[in-house]
Amino acid sequence: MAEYSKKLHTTYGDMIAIIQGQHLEDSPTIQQHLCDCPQCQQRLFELSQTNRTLDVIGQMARDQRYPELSPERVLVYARHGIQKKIRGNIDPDSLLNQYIAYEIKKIKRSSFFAASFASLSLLIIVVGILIILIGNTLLGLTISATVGITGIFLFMFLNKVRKAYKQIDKLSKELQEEKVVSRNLSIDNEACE
Amino acid sequence: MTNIQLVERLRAGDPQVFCALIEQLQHPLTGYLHRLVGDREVALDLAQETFIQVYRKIGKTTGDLPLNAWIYRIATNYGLHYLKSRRLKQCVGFNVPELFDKSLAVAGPEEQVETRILVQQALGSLKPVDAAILQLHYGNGFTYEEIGQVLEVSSEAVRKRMARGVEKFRKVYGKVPSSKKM
Repeated sequence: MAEYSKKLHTTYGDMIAIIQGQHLEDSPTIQQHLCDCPQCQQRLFELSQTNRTLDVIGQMARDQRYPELSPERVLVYARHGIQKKIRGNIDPDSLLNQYIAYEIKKIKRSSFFAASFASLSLLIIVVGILIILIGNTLLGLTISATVGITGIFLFMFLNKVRKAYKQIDKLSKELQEEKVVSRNLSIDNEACE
Repeated sequence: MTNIQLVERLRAGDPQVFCALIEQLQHPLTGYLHRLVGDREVALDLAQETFIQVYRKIGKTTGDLPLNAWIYRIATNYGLHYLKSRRLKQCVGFNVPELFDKSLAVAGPEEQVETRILVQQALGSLKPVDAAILQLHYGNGFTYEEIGQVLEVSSEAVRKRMARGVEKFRKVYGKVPSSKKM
C-alpha cells in the first residue's frame, strides 16, 4: 500500500469513480494516496469542478422539449419502405404526392445518367463503325461489348422506372384504404392508448 | 412487462407496444441526439429514423436483446454517421451550419445560457464517440454498463474512455476565458 501510495498517482478513471461515488476495489489504497499526494488532490479538485460543469448536460436534458413523433407515420414509413420521410401530421394524399415527386426526381436523375451514358455509347458506336469500315476487328468487338453494356444499363433504368411505378401504385392503394393508416394497421389513437 | 416479453411482442409486430415504445423513448432519445449532433431538426429526423429501424430490424434479433441499449445503439450510429459526413462536408468546403443551435442553451435558466453554450462547444470539439459517452452518462443517466451495451464494449473500456473524455473536456473547457466559465 505504501509503495502504491508513493509511486503511483491516481488515474483519472479512479478519480471520476470517487467523485461519482462508485465502488472501487482499491478504494482504501487510493484514498490513502490522495491524502498523501498534493498533486493528486489538486487534480481531484479540478476534476470535481469539471464534473459539476458536466452536470449541466443533465439539466439541459431536463429542459429540452420536442414535438411529438407520430407512431402512425413511423409505422407507415417502416412498413412501406418509404425513403423520403416527412415529419408532421400524416395526410395520406399529401404523403402520396410527396412520395411520387420524390420517385420522379429519382427517375429523372437516373434518366440523366442513362441518357448521358447512352449518348456516349452511341458516339463510340459511330466511331467504331467507321473503324470497322476501315477494317479493324478488335475495335469491332469492343463496340459489340459497348452495345451490350449500354443495353444492360438501359434495361436497369427501365426496370427501375417499372419498380417505381409499381411502388407508387401499391402505396396509392394502401394509402387510400388507409385514410386508414389507423384501422388497417390497428394503430389509431385508441390502439396507441 | 419484462424486457423479454416486450421484445417478443415487438418482434411479433404489435403496433400498440410499438406506439408505447415511441411515446416512452422519443423525448430522451431526441434530446440525446440533439445534444450529440447539435441540430434540433436533424435530431428529430434521426429519432424518427431510429424508430423505423427498430421496427424493421427487431425481427432479426433474439428475445434476450437489451432493448433500451439496442435502440440507443441505433441512434448513436445515426448520430455518429451524421457527424462524420458533416465533418467530411466541412473538409471539402461545403457551407455547414454551426455545430449546435441555441435552442439547447436557452431552454433553461438564463444564468446558465453561457455555460451551456460553452459546454456544448467543448463537447463538439471532442471525438464524437467520447462526446456520445459523456452525453449518455451525464445527460441520460446511463451507467458504464449500459453505455457498454450501447457501444458494445466492456464497462472497463467505458470507464477508460469516460476518463479520457472528461480529461479532454477539461482541457478544452479550460481554454475558454475564465470570465465565461461557471
